[in-house]
Amino acid sequence: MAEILLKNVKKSYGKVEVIHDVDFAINDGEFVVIVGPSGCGKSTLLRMIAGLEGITEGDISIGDRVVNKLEPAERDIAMVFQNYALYPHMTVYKNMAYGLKIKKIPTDEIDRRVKEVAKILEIEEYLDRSPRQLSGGQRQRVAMGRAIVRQPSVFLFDEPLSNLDAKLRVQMRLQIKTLQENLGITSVYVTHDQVEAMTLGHRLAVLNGGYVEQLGTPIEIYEKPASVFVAGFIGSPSMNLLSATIEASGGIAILSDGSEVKLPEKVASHAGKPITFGIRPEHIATDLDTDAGINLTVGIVEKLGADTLVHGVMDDGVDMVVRLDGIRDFEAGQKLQLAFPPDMIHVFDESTGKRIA
Amino acid sequence: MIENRPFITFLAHLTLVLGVLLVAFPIWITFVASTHDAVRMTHVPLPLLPGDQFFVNLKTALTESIGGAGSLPVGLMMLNSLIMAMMIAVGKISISLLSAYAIVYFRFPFRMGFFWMIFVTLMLPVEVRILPTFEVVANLSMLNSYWGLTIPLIASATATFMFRQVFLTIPDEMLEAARVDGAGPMRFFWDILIPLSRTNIAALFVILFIYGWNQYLWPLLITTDKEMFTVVMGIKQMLETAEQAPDWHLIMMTALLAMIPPIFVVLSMQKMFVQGLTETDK
Repeated sequence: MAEILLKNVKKSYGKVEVIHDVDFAINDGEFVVIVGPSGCGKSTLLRMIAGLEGITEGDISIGDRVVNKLEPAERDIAMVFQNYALYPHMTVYKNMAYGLKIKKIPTDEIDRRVKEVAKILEIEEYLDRSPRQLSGGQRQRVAMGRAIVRQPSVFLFDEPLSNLDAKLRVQMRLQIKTLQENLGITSVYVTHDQVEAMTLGHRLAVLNGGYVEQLGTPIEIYEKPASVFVAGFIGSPSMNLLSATIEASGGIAILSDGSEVKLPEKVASHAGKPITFGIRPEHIATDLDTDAGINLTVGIVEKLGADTLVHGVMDDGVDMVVRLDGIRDFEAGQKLQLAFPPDMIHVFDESTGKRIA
Repeated sequence: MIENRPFITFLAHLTLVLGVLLVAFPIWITFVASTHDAVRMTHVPLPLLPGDQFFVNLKTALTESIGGAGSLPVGLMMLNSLIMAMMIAVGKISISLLSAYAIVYFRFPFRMGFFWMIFVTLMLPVEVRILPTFEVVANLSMLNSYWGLTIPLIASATATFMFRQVFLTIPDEMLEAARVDGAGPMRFFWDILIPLSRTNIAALFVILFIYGWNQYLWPLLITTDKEMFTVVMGIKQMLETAEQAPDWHLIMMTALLAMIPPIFVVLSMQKMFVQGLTETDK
């Protein structure tokens, strides 16, 4: 049980700074997901918490100890690696017991703990096998088991599901969520998969280029993305982002095709200035009576069963994706009238990318 | 490709059989010679079929000294060879494992410099540096000792390089997982690295044991005391009899005996040897 505190944490490789001034706290028992595109520094940040990477500046504390100078083993953490990193020459049992053996925990205690965890994870029958005799999902569970038997105060997950097939990923995702809730251990989970990010975490930290773009609950981040980056990164298919200008009154945005859209609130400060206008594909309506008059020429239609994705272009040639419930039939070249419900519109400053409304 | 052409198959087998016979023939001659007595071996033509003196010769070779110089019985020479070969193989493997471990897993100043220094010694085999090496060994008063026989041959760039390559194939996460588990550098080395390199160690052991066993020039130089003679150079000594004809039957028996340990090592470690040289999956 412990909280994690990142205080003005920076990381540089030589002169290149890859983590810039990361500053947030993870509460005791909380599940925080760090999400971002490849190369955004999310794994580096996790490895800094684990003690596998040095900290250039700032402090990381776990519980009430500053752990900057501590070895990974002294930080009371357990980590699950992307490729599982099981010791290939040891049986599943020995893999799980290895850390405890080094800690000089009595053999009968080790035995009890390993068997208990194996039972939870349903890997009891594999205890005598070697990792290479296991399937991907089983190895993944062993890697989790190795972390759990140590009874750490913090779990660190480095994209643990990315080597699994889609179906197993969903299963394991649920299992990780259930386990974390039952054990109540503070967890940090790194992923680039936004479904994992949205479903697993109590809170998300969206990382971009070494900066934390936004920290908040998944719903906060979905509903009120703090920047163009977060808006485009979270949500699938991603948000339609168009360049537009605010009309003089500040209450209406003029899109690039000339159509006018009412905004949820007045942004007088940006009257007459260029902005980035965002609307999620699932929030665009096609059957509303509207005077907006935004035309979409249908291109490719993807029918996913539960919903239908319509890829099309607006009159001025700008791409737009619309997501509609159920199976819908459209033909390429067909014209659609779109309406943007004002509550679902996001407005970002064009130059800084920050949210305005 | 599946082919059914009997003539080609026959030809292939014939070639292989001839090849085997060609290689095996000298060994056969050695064996035949070791089964006759001294008198038969001086008659021309030399016998091509085994005689009945095998066990007599075996006993003589193992217990008595052969040749005019009155050298060590073969049994003791083989013991010397065995000790030398084991020390060389084990020493080379230990030193190479440690130096490869240092070069791959530790960051220290001039790391690559040290690696290249080790690597460059490939260009300086014992034969090239034999005089200065002899001088060093003599000054350290290691002549006529197992240490003198083995230490100069222990440093091995080849083995260091091979272990370096093996270690580089082991994923970094393995080290990181071990660190999270609380394993220090030596624990990681013993518990993870050595078991993972097991087949490579075995393969190298086979090669290095035979290398050590077959040493000829170096033992010849630094052993003057008969007690320290090794079997490979001993065979040569046996030929240097001043007045009488060489005891061919006993010399061949010795040669035959000298072949046994390397063959034993190869056969017993064959499976791991092949794995160690071909396996890439870690």
